[in-house]
Amino acid sequence: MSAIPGSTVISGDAGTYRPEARITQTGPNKKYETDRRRLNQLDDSSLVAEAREGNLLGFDELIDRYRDKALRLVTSTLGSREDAEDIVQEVFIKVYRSLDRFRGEASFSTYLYTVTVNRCRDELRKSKIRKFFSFDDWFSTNDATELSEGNGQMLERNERVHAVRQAMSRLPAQTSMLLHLREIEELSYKELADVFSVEIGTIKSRLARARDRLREELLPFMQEG
Amino acid sequence: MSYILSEQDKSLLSAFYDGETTAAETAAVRSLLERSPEARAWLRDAGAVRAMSVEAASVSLAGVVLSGKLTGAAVAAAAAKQGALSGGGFFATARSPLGLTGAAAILLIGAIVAFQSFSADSPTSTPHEQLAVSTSQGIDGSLDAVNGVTTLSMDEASAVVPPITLHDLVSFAMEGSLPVNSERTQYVGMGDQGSREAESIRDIEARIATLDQPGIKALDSLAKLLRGSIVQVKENTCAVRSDLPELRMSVINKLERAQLTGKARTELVAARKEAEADRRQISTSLDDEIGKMKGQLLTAGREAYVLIETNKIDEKPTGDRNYVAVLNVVGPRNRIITVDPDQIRFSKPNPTIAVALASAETTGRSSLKKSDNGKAPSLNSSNGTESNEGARNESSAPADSYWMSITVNLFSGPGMRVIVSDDLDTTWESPSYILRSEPQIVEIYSQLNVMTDSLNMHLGRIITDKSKSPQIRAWRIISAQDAFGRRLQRMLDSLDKADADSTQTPSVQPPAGQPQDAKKNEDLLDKAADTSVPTDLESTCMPWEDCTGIG
Repeated sequence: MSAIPGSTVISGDAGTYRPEARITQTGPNKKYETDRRRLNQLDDSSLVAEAREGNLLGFDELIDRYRDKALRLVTSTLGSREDAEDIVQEVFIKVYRSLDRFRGEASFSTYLYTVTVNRCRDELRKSKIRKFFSFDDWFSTNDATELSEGNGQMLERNERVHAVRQAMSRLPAQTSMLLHLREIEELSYKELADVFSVEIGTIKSRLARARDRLREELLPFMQEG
Repeated sequence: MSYILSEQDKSLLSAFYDGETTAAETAAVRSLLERSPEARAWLRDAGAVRAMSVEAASVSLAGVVLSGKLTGAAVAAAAAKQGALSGGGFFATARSPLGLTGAAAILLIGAIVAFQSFSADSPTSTPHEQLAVSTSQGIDGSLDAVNGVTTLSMDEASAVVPPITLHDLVSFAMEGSLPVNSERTQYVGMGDQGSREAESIRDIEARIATLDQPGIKALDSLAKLLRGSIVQVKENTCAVRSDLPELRMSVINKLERAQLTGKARTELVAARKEAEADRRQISTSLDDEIGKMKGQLLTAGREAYVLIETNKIDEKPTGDRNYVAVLNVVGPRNRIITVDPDQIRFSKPNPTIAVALASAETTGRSSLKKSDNGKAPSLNSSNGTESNEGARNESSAPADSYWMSITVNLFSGPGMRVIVSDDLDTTWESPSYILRSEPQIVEIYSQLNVMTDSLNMHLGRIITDKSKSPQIRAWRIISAQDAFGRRLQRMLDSLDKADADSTQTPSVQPPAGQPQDAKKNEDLLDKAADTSVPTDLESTCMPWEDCTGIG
């Protein structure tokens, strides 16, 4: 596109203008689909490499893989869903900004969890109180059908869930995060040691103590079951 | 004799359970398990704890949807902005955005590119350039309802329109369309689409060179305004400046200074006429609605925005014009219900039904307004008649209000479709109905108002009925919403059938299985006007409930 005399026209996008494509598309973008399929096959370190080179779809894929995991950890630790969203976003922003420094000595997941754990710690330090789960976590509104059938089972489940969360919230924050990452995200002891920057022996003993405490608190539900 | 497990025993058992023991440790654990029932019980209980933890984790995320789609592009944009805040250039390019999605839904364009300008000198900054730097309020742009006015926190990353080129500007004047992605595969449009000849546009571009410096600067200023005229709120719904038709006229006025001749001039004249007609039609309706609903509009600085749903309707609209589906006005989008002291929250928002901006006159509009002082909100009926129900329910209405609003998409005059939106996504669509008179639109609009008010009241009662468990209340709300959709369908069917009977002209057939009895539907509508509990919502009463009096 030619420049207008006396003005500066910087148009990086003009070359991509396609007059025939003006009509709002409702179909899928084939290039995007192809790219995503390719990226879906790559491992985390390859995706990190792609993202470093400017392919944001690579980071999209990483987000898709780990967003829910991060959200689970944050929700489990902080107990607030609204805060959790913001914190998860901040975590990914921080991870993105430090991609250049990510050397791959630890796995991407370990790195992400480390950032998430540290962010949760910061948040807890700020609030200085542990947030307990609110009553709304007792049920999911997506379970409307289940609510109409076997309602007693749903209530029992909700009570168990509530009890677990209460018990978790009474653990020290680091311990509950540790337990979550082991039980839910199934990180190895080595990975946990990396995330929390402690020795494996410490991980062992902390996990055992956490399980012991939870066991005591949840005994009534285990006996019922 | 019972064996008391030591801490070391438990640590070994725990590691054994996780498969993290050495060979020697494994042997020790097996020996312990053989001789100690307490050890066996501890290991069994560890499994139970894990099972319960997994169960709790699966429930915690059920129904949770991040309010905005977290994408690499958005993260990159936010990261770049953080870099800027910490001392980098405002438009620091973090990484070149390759492979940005151009899918059907509008996605946030987070790539930071050099800001594009027609002229070297920037004109006086506009409100859109006085952008508040957001502090990671969420990818979808935060909406803060303060005193009934919902404000947009805008930043560069929330602008959907890519940097405007000269071609974009001329196309906007000629065709009323604006690109909403950098690939320019998607547009928001007003008026007739794609009818102008490409040569005309090129001619106009060539003649722009004849404009003097003030003329070019004026265009530059308009380009910047257009950049901020559409901002993303959510994936397929965006906020559009309510004076977009006015902006189009401004662009046309500026272009006319280029002293066009021949075909280009003819086309521009035609575009002006069309833009004027659009302005009358759109702006009049918008002005009316803005006047009634100022408190519920989105604002960013001095500018007023209305939400629109980008056109994802697949079927070809009747008529010649693909009209802008302008017309979603919604209230608070956050978690819909908070009732103290139970702290009941529903992760799934209430269905929101955007109120139509029909071209015809509208009758009164009632709404629940958010109450700032924690007291129950009052009904505000713009036709001057206050509903008695408002007074009766003052003590039982929820402290936090929520919105029901209906989208009516208009196609080239006679065609109409009602869309029920759930948090700005479509959850229910009626078939297209051919309306033969504008009074029909008025009729539908007023009935929809009545029905949504009725549903709001009913939902308010459900929420505040503390004798029912939260689960029951959640289920009943969802059932009420489903019933409302069915009632809408019956109402539309009855109108269509009544109109078809009167004109004896073929009309769109409603879906099979829907009731055709107009009288029965009228009864239902009468009941809807009565803000007591609608009887056709009795199905929400569960067998173990006592529904007398509440419903």
